[in-house]
Amino acid sequence: MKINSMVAFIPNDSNFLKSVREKIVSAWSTIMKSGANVRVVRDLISRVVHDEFTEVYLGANNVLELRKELPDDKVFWIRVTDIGDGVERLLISALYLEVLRPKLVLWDDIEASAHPGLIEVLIKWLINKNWQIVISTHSIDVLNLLTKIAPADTLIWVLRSDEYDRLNIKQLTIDDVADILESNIDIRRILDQL
Amino acid sequence: MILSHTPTKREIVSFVVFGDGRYDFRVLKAICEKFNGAKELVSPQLQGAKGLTNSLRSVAKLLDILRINVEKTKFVILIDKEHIGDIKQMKKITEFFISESIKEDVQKQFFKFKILRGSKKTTPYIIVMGYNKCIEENISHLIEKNYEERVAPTRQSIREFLRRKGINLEDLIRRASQKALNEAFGNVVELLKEIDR
Repeated sequence: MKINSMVAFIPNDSNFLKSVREKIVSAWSTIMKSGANVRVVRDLISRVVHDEFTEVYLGANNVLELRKELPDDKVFWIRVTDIGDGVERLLISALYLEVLRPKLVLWDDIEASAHPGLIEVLIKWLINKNWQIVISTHSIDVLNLLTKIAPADTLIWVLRSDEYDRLNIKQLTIDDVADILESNIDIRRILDQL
Repeated sequence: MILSHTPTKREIVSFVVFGDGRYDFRVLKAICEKFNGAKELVSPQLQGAKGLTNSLRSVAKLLDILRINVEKTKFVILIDKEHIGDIKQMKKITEFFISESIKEDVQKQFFKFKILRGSKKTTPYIIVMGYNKCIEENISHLIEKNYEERVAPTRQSIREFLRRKGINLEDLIRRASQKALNEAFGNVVELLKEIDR
């Protein structure tokens, strides 16, 4: 496997999101020129909140706002923070990735602050881009979604430490995990016996 | 003895699959606690299996994927009587395993099998809950033995009784005498004795 140029890491860390947000603010003209502020909202955010937003904009006091067009041609702006932490995290992370265009995305605890509907949209968005993705999760919802979406070339690594703190890895395919879930077994509960 | 969803560091003596999972897990967990010792039963299900075929499917998958000594570690299915009839129903087991023998232990009130799946040979048990239908009948029987009060074997009636007494299902079992427990949940007690050996 050849990794070119950038690797983007998205940890489950509010300090990280805060620092990315600051970078987004400082790089806002680049974001607008690339059209990322429209693409991310159209392809991701509007599908998560089931509302028709057209773009995200940097408003007064550097507040991120989503633009909504009403039937009578009026325009309405909603602060991203008013929609929820999960959506804000998603928007900031997606803008960060859209600008960086890394070859490899590492996303830690992808289910953090996100309901299953949001995770599904996010996973589908991620797999439609031209990068490789590594996600970590503890969530059975994420496993269920992966087996449902079944992205091509997906491998699942089950990681666990033994009593000597050595990390052991067991590799499974999507089909392996699907079979286990369809047999009504929670794979997370039998990691030591796999 | 404890029953848990995820293994701890204890010796695992059995993997348990529940055919319904409503009261079953809670009842078995509370009865296990009345046995001394550090052994563990594990139930790694997502939810109640809903029926005998799905329960057997879960056991078959566990046998396929677990790296354990399957001759030593038992597999148990706990299921309401309404989901199975008699020993003829147990033929369903051949959908998933090569069955060497099926034995109904009438005295101990469970079914015991000798089966083969791939190269793995093991002895699963099926414990049937309820006298005509479901585990609520056992719970109702336990209430009668412990409190000398007749409660209809329905979830609602049992819930109302427990609420009135200010206890929960686990308290009911913890406070039950061994004699009452043997009468109401004899098959569970016998199975736990057998796998504890």
